[in-house]
Amino acid sequence: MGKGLFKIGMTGLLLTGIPGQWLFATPIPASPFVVVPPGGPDKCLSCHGWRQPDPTPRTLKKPHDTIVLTHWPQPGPWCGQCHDLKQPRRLFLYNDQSVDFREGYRLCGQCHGAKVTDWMFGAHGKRVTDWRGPRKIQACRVCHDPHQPQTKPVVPSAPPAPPGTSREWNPVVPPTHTLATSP
Amino acid sequence: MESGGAANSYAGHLPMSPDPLSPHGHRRRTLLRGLAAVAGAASATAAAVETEGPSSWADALDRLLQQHFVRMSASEVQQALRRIEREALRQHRIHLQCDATQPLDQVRFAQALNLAVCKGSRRCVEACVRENNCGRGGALENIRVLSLMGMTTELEQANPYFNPPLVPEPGQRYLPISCQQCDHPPCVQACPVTATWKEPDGIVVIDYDWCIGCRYCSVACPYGARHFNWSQPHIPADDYQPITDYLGNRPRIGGVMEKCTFCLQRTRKGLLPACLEACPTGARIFGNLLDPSSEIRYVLEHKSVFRLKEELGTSPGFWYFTG
Ligand code: HEC
Ligand code: HEC
Ligand code: HEC
Ligand code: HEC
Repeated sequence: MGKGLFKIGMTGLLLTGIPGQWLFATPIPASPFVVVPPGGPDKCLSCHGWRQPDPTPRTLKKPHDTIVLTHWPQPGPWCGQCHDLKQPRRLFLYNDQSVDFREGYRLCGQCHGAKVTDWMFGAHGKRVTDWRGPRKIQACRVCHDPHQPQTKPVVPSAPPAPPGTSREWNPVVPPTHTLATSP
Repeated sequence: MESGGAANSYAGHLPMSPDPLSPHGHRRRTLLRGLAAVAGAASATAAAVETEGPSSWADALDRLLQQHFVRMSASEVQQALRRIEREALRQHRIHLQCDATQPLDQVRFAQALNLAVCKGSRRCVEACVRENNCGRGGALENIRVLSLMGMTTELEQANPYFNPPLVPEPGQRYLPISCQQCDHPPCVQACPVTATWKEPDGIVVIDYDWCIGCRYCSVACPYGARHFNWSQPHIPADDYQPITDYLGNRPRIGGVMEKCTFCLQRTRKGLLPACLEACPTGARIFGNLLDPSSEIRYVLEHKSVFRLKEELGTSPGFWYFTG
């Protein structure tokens, strides 16, 4: 194995948390990207600076009463699976490192390696603004709430005019095949 | 239909259409143009003019006698663009900017669509209609989102009119379909007047002023991707997209065809097409086929992709995949 490939394997380990994730997927590293919106450390420390972490699964009270974990069946692993309880502004990785909220995709990559690889190369998730130049791609949380990642149903936009009412399929209006002269 | 063949073979496949560069048509048009100038000058004094420049009559005549886009000189193109802007101001009370953006070098546009991720929200349709100044009311939409029950791939049995309170519905799959930007476009071959052709960046375009509205192309298209303006599209003046392009989203009149142009007024300037920008799920992937590091190339190289009605030999520039 060439040194280059080894490096890519290591990059895979660093970026997705899974060794060799990229090694077998593709020899080309993803072109550099910027994650939007950047996100960043919330003001967790104002309370957690002095609070003792409590890893027991329970129904949370204020201020986290809105957080309900449906990511995987409960009872199951709890907040500590993803949050570094000792450093509340950081996310927990299996290799005992922790990452900033900004790099949340590395957390997800530990369990959804293939999806995160796809996301890095542009086959999952969404690129914004332009199709060329530096890539800006949306963070996972734009579409997936990390606590309830299932996509929610939405109200569809209006359907096309059905046959009979549609001038396209049923030409009730004669084609005005003249030049549209100005009024 | 011939499959394989030379890369730029579409030009050689036009037995029914006149050569766009035939000197014959040119001479006739130039002659007519001379007449138009005389007539225009005569009527300019008579008509009530509220816009700067030639009168509405001169403009109408100019449009009638205008050359095919491919044959227009740079100054003629500019003249046509200014005329379009004047007419928009006169007829729709909107200040447009109309460009004739050139195809980019070393760029071949293509799109891929992830069927596993599309949820049928039709946000792409909504954005497309707005961006491309299509008439409102759903009579003409360049994207059709088909809903397919189960695993069927019979597009004829699919339902584009689905309208449940919430999508996705259980058991439904959604397949948005628009112009496939074929390499061997049957629509181009069907056009008797060469009003439609394929640009070097892969986009099949229409010169709306050259189109005679015969609708042969819409019959020829196996994807139902070409749409006819049965009447002048109705758009509220405050809802006009003011940045337009000659071959793209400039105002159309009744009686001409239109189609998806990959939003060339945006993509040729580096922006993403409106449907991609609007898609809430990221199902659409757009990019340059010639760039090995582009997203579209990654998808083509790493996913099992397919194209619609490939057996017809149209060689679409639009791929579908799941996963
Ligand atoms: C307003 C004060 C406050 C802020 C700000 C706050 N928390 Fe908490 N947090 C709490 C309280 C109180 C509990 C315990 C709730 C309970 O036991 O019902 C808690 C519990 C938790 C827990 C469950 C584990 C444990 O130690 O009890 C996690 C994980 C957590 N918070 C993460 C965060 C993160 C991440 C942030 C920053 C984005 C944050 N919190 C910001 C007050 C706060
Ligand atoms: C699947 C991993 C995962 C689990 C499990 C998880 N979180 Fe989170 N949580 C995240 C990620 C990732 C973010 C960062 C989102 C961002 O980038 O803004 C986050 C953000 C937060 C925030 C700040 C933003 C917000 O949504 O309010 C709080 C508070 C929080 N988590 C609390 C909790 C609590 C309490 C639990 C346990 C009940 C928990 N989380 C379980 C991944 C997880
Ligand atoms: C500890 C491993 C783990 C981590 C970390 C993790 N997930 Fe998951 N995720 C799971 C499991 C397990 C399931 C499947 C749950 C099921 O099938 O019920 C899942 C399911 C999902 C689903 C599919 C939900 C559905 O049923 O449609 C999405 C989307 C998802 N995760 C997104 C994320 C995102 C985004 C992150 C990062 C913030 C993340 N996951 C982090 C383990 C993880
Ligand atoms: C632009 C929106 C968007 C972004 C950004 C995005 N996803 Fe998704 N993702 C989706 C949609 C839509 C689905 C389809 C969900 C479904 O089938 O119900 C999906 C599905 C998934 C699934 C479940 C696949 C399955 O088989 O059910 C996982 C896991 C997932 N995404 C992880 C991620 C991770 C990790 C990230 C960030 C690296 C991410 N997604 C970023 C929109 C997005």
